[in-house]
Amino acid sequence: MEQLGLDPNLLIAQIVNFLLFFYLYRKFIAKPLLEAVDKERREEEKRQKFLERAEKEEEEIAKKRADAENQIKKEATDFLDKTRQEAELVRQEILTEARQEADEVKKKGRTLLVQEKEELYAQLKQKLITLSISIVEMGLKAYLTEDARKKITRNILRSSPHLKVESKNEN
Amino acid sequence: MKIDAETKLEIKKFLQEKIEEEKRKVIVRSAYPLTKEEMELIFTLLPFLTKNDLATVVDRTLIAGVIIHYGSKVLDLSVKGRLVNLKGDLYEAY
Repeated sequence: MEQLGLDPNLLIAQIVNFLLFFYLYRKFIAKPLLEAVDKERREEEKRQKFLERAEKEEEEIAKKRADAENQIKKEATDFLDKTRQEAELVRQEILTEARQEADEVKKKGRTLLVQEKEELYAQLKQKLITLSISIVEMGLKAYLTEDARKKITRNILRSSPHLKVESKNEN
Repeated sequence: MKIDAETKLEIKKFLQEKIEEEKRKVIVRSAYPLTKEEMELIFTLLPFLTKNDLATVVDRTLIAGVIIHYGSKVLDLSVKGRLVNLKGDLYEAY
């Protein structure tokens, strides 16, 4: 051993030193370090799990939001369709009523026209009759001489054998 | 207002006399002054007229013929009256 240049006492001392160092390292350095690393790893795993959960929840929320938006759109479309249909019905009703009223107005107008025409005809006939009688009266007044009047008077008196006296209120 | 019975009777009597007087009045309207012959014809038609007060009136608008007013009654024998009747008949016919 001495020939190799090794000192057995030194070797033993170094081995003991190494063992001592190993023991101390393992007890006071390796263990806490490993525990710290372990702890860190566990924390990391927790954070990872939390992140995954958060991402999952975010996806769910996004999905729910999309579903809600679709639902709202669908309801809005349905509402618009329904409103359009009702508006169309109301429009048709208004049109029908307007047509009926127009027909009634036309009918009334025609009836009124006919009535006015008949009244006009009646008035015209009356005026015509009045005018004719007036013309005859004027003609007689202008044409008849005194002798002719006397002749007519005598003829009237002679040709009236049975006379009815008309009762007339003088007032 | 209370009226005395006697006064009431007198007023009634007076009014009756006036009514009788009006009844007796006869007005003959003609288109020209009537001759005696024509008046005789009228008296022939209506004999009771001779007993009444007769008045004659000339109304040229009658054209010819006569209208006799007797009390509240009227007898229209004029050409104008006939034209009026004709007008009425035409109105009714048309």
